[in-house]
Amino acid sequence: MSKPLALSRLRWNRGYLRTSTVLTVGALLLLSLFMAFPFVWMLSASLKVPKTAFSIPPQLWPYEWRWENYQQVLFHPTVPIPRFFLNSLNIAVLVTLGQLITCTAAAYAFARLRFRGREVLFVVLLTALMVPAQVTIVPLYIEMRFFKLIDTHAALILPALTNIFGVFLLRQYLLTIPDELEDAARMDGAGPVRILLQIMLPLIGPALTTLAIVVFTGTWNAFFFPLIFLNDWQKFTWPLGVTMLRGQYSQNSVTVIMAGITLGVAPVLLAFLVLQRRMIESIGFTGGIK
Amino acid sequence: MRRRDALTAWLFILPTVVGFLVFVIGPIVGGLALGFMRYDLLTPPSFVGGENFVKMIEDQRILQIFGNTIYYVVGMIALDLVWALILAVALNSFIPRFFKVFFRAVFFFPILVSGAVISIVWLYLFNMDLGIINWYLVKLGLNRVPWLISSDWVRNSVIIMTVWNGVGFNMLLLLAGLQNIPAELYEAGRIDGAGRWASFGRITLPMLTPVIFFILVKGAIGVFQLFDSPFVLTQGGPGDASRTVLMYIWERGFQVLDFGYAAAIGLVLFLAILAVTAVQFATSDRWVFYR
Repeated sequence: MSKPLALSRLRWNRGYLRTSTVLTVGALLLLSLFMAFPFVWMLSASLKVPKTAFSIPPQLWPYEWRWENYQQVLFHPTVPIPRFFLNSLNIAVLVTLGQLITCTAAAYAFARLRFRGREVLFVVLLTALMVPAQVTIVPLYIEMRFFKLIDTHAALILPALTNIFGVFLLRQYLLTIPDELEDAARMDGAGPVRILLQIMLPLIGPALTTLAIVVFTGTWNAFFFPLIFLNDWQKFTWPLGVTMLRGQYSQNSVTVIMAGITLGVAPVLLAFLVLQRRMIESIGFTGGIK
Repeated sequence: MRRRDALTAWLFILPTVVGFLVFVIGPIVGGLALGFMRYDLLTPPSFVGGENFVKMIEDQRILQIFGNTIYYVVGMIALDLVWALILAVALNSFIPRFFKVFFRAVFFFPILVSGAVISIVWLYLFNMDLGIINWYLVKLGLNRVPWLISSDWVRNSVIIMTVWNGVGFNMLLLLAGLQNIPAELYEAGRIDGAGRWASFGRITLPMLTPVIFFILVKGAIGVFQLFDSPFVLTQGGPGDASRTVLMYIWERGFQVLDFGYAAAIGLVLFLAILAVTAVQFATSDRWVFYR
């Protein structure tokens, strides 16, 4: 395309789009107010004196700042919020690490090693994507009971150590790596383990990050499985513990509950601000593979 | 070397295969068996034939609960798709880069927060008398809405909250889809005299159909198992007005200890998901446009 034409079109576009740009940005601002509002309200309520949480007209900026709400929730006599954090962190880290290892190994085998029954087995495994564990929760619970794992973190961790979706994601990525790299290493006498660790692993970094982000946030936020498998307060995860916190208080203590929630949302927000680009690209990447 | 490769391969896939057998196949087989049994954890299970399925037909609550779930599937996917599409198209339009990054982050962020936890916040926002949403509605001269206390409204409130929580994901998928549409197509459209709406209907939408198909399939599988947000917002109420199938499975199994019946409902739910997915795939070649 010749230069003058491109320039003239650009100029035309700018003049034409100026009003519509302003309108779009305005509409998006309104929408983003709506999207962010629950968080704003949460933060504001977490800093208020209980009585003023529902004052009319609504006052988003607190009259007096009550940091004690946070103190109260952190050092609560019966609801151990810091414990919940540690539990969630512990489970999410173990699950994420476990999946990175098992999924990488399996994906490498399915993508680059030859063995009999490879294709059939892969298709059979893929059917697991159609059977969400929620649907089979009753037999799964009875199985866990049989293994004597009820009310342990292992009941949450063990089933999540492998993940067919992760294998699929990494396999697709490994398939794009040219054979020549591997052939050269084979010539030098490298075995599959060395090839995986020294050649493949550095190349599939982006896919591993994607998997890690998706798995970590999913595990961190999980509510249903902890609800089913855990009974003891001391073992509760953060989402489960915080929803139970609500049951411990009357309506008047909304401010303390909001402080508890804010404490859990803040680290996620911080991580998001730091990793924003990485995270957003990751999701686009997941969707790109169909 | 071939043989060594095969051995390594089997070692590499072993954990995944074991996990699949123990935590996917095992529960499926167990569920199939349990659906035909009576079991309360305390006494040994006994075979009762089709009793659980007869019970399901006679259960007055089942119809309402499956109806709610279908309402959620249709309502949530529709609202999510429209909302995500509007956001994606707006973000893909000619606006300054700073705004683009900012809005994308704001719209995406809620998805990173646990739905169960943020539902607690919405519980207060949705409050009939003290909630801030109703306060603004009154201010605008509208009536208070009984968000969580009216049987007619409650499902819509659950839909609004859940879609708010998750819309960022599909927005990103659609945004990626929009960015993959070659500019030449719009150019060709303009030469042929297509206006904005025509080019949206004739170029943008058809080119997005693969992404939309993915969203529909993934969405249906996901919403059929809806649990967290209605569990926290309404506990299924008022009555059964907002209860989902998974909540009912939880109640029958883990509250009432009627595990056979809960497993049977699980089987029906599984078949429903399978059937819907199969229909989606079977009809896809009529409207999904692959390049």
